[in-house]
Amino acid sequence: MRTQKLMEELRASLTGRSALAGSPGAPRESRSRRARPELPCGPAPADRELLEKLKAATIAQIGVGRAGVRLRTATFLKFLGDRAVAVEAVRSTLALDFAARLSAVEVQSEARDLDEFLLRPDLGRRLPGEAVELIRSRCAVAPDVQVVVGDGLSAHAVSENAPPLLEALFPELERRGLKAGTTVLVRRARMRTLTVVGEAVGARTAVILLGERPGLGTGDGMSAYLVFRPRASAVESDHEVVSNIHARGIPPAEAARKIADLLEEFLRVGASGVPRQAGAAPSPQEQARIEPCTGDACLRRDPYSPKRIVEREPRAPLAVSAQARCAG
Amino acid sequence: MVLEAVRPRVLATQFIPSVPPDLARAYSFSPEHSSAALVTADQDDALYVALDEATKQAPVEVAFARSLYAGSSHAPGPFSGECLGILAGASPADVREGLAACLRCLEDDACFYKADESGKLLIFPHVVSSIGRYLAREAELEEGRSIAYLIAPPIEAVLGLDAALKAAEVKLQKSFAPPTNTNFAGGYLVGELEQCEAAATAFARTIVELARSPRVV
Repeated sequence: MRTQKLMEELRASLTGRSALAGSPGAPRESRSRRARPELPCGPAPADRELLEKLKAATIAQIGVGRAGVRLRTATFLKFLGDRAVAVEAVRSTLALDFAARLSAVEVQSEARDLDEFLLRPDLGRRLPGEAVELIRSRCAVAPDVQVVVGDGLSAHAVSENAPPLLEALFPELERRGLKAGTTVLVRRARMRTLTVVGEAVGARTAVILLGERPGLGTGDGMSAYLVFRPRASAVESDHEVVSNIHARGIPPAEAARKIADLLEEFLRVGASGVPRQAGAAPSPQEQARIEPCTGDACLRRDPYSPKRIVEREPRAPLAVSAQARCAG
Repeated sequence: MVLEAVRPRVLATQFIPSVPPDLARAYSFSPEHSSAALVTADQDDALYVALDEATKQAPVEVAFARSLYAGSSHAPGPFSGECLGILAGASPADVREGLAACLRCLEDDACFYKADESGKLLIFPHVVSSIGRYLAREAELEEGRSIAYLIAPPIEAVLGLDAALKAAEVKLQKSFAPPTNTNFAGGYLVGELEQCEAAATAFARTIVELARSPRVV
């Protein structure tokens, strides 16, 4: 900034033009704040450039304008398409050989089919007695880390993201000297199956990779829930989560690193969730980061960016039959 | 247009959340650092300044930063540019923050400038008002000092440094004599901020004048 101003002043002095007049090359001058609206209706944005940035930062439909009192047709159709992506994700299932691919022991929650799973969250949290027996007989006992994989509300997310995450996670655990148990795959699983499986094998810590409830247009988000000393009495606040694991969020390899760091920390502190965070005073480094920042740097910093810094070829989206669903 | 900014192009940015110990050693990471952010750009000096900026805004170190031989017009690949920078940090979040700071700096601060109408002659008359950990190490100065980071092709650099040293109360802290990796030359001048600004201005002015009449006899 400083150098750019210096060079502009120098150019002005060399060409005899006032520095205040600005130059065609200066980015600040070229910004037109009140361009003609290209939307057919709705108010013109006060800051079009900012609006474009905001729109580029999300796949949510924002700043879409309107036609009279209703949504524009294109917006409405996209809404239907996005909704179809979410519905497809909920209705997706894990491949039959998925457990074999992960070398995992496969069990199923008490929910007998998908509809029951969706309507009865309580059944999705429990495992039948024979499933627990199977886990006890087939899995390594008292591991440092018990890994559970569950389809949750998006099997698609898990099929996409769980294999690369596990591939990165096991070496990370090994490097930290942590022994991982036998992976367990739970079909029609809710988050609570984590403690059921973890308690059955007597694990020191446990993590479940679970397909997240899809949003409009995002069906591929996976989360990892982590807990220290899994037990039936563990409550929500004993768990920690690494969320938004997908191509446009936290890449699986990075999530693996975070998960391994957290699990190691659980074992060091002897707690997870709120008890861990309440017990450990923040380091000076962390303190500096949570101090409110002021000034220009603060305005320009994005706390969370759903867009990758590098533009990559977008992944093939879920097979969407938007047309069919719109018609139906 | 003379002295028009030529913005650096960022060619690739990548993260390594967990760097294998062998690789970390090969690129001289500190033992506590195991995450990395990689960035390439087509302007080496702009990238050095941007990497330094990252050390000011995030708990990261510049583990590696080297210019490639013969500059960006002879790059070995489409994503190589002129320079590879590697930021090392203790966690993925740290290097992500560092890289974001680096990219912001490349986007609206550090860059080369045209010293002639055609844009064939490019110079880097950059003032860093407060150096971070990386430039402090490179310049063998303490953090927070002001420097004029002046780079140009060989004859322009020598003439420009002459003018800069005469125009302001600055000291030539480090000189890059030709030929360097990219064949550009220049140096770090250290002094008070206003003096650094005066030095950078004199450096640029002299080179613009040289470009207008390169031969005096």
